[in-house]
Amino acid sequence: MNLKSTKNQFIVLTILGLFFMILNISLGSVNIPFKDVVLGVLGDTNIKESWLYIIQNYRLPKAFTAILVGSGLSISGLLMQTLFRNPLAGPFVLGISSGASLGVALLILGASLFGASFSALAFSNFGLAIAASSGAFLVMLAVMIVAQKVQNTMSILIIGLMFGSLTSAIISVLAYFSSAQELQQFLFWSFGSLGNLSWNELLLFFSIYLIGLILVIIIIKPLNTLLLGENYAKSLGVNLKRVKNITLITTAILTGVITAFSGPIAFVGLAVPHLAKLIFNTSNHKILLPASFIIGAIVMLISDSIAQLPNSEYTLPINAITSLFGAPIVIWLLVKNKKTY
Amino acid sequence: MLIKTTNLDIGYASKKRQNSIAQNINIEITSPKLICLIGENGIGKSTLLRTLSKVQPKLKGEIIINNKNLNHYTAATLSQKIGLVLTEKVPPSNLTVYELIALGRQTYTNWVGTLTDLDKQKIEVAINLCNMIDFKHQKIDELSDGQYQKMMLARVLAQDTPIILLDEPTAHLDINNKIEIFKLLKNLVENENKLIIISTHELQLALHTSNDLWIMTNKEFLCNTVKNHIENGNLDKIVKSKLVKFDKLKKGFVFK
Repeated sequence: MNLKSTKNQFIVLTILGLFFMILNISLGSVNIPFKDVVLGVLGDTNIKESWLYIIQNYRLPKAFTAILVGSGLSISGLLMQTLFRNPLAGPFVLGISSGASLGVALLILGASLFGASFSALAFSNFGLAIAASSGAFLVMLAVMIVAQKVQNTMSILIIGLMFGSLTSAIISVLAYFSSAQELQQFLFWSFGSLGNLSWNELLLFFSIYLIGLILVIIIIKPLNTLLLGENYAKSLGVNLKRVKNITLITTAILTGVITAFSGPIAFVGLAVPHLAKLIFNTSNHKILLPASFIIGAIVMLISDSIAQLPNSEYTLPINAITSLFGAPIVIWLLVKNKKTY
Repeated sequence: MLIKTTNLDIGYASKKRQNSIAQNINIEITSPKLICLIGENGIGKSTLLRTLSKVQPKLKGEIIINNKNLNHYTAATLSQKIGLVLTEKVPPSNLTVYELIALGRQTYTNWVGTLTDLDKQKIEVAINLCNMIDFKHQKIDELSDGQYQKMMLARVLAQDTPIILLDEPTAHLDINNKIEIFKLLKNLVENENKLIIISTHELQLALHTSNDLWIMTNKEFLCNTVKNHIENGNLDKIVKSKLVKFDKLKKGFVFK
């Protein structure tokens, strides 16, 4: 691998990332001139008060959320693809998003079953986050307990998928017995959303995300060894059980917190690692992890900018946009490069 | 004492039952040499190599590696004593030949895997020994079977362990590559003081290059020098067919 070209690619990607972040902040349902956007970000109070409020309390946190969501999901996807040596693996193979969905479904759809005090909670942002994270945490715990009992990594993959099916089935049953209004609310949650986070919520989000990110850095080296397969990794001194556990916990933390705050956002976690591998043409995690981080952030910022439908009052579901625009790009890149993955 | 086993049983175990493949294996190796492990398919050659390297648990008995019980090794400490090449293929990836060989240094590098000058030097030596210079920057998926085997050999050489276990390193190779690899292994034993144990079906090459032979049959496990094996008539025990016989003078198998 040419070291210099890798460095250049990173510089270009970082500049692109910054560009799309500024673009993301300057676009929205309210049209704010670019100059005022920059001033607003820098905290200049001379611009229109409502604009300043929109930029500082709505658009900036939303852009940061996009970066956290995009990078976190992409890194989790990369971890899962390496651990399971499966290009189809993504952050949600462990059933974590289904767990989060189950938590939210119980809150929203089950509200009528459990009484009115519950439904008040269901409409608050915080209530959704708590329900989603406890659901994600419970499923993660179940997968981790089972993972300790099975030696085979592939079994963990299948067990994760089974937990996913199981929770989806429970959600279906709940959905069958709930009202149209509750169903709609649940559906809106499952579309995913980057907005609506206050700075305080974002701070909590970031703190948990940071724990996941630090754990990832610890396992960069053994992840590279795992490219040789488990037996070779072991013979090169890798403590397999420890690495497996850290990888699973990291993925659970990252996808759990992301799903809790932004809903089950599909596609990014599966596709971005492939984009990173295609662009950098390497398997080295020292390159792939930061690459997935930046590309994931960029993809999420672009998707969010499109979803905002600039200057209109409509916002499209972010979940649809990521796949609608991302999938053709990945297909095109794979065909163009004629590589397996 | 490099390797010692006492009453070792190898095989596969699950909760319900044990599938023992070979029993009462007693080995004692005190000095570096080239040892060929021969025997028919399914007799347990790979299982033995995998058990000695702790890839797979033993069923019974004791294993001493470098004067220390194998149970007391962690994956990290064992990886500096035993290098391993298995028959299983490395999963497809974007790794280059150099990157794969460099992974052999993982056990010595720091927590992010930075290669020091010493690491780089060891990697270059391994690449040179295995004649892989021309393929250094190729992707591993683009190699021929022969190049692939030599790359795996270079990786285990870069790992720089006193003991090297190789499971059929010359399978799928043409005669020239086979001879080249056996010659290389013999050189390593003589010049670098390595203990190399390989399982192989190349009886002729094994007889002419190795110091010791381990012969596995379904009845017994025989360790001895090549010369003693020939004198004791042990080599006839591997070939079941009545048509082929071992000729002590010619040091090879002949048709009757």
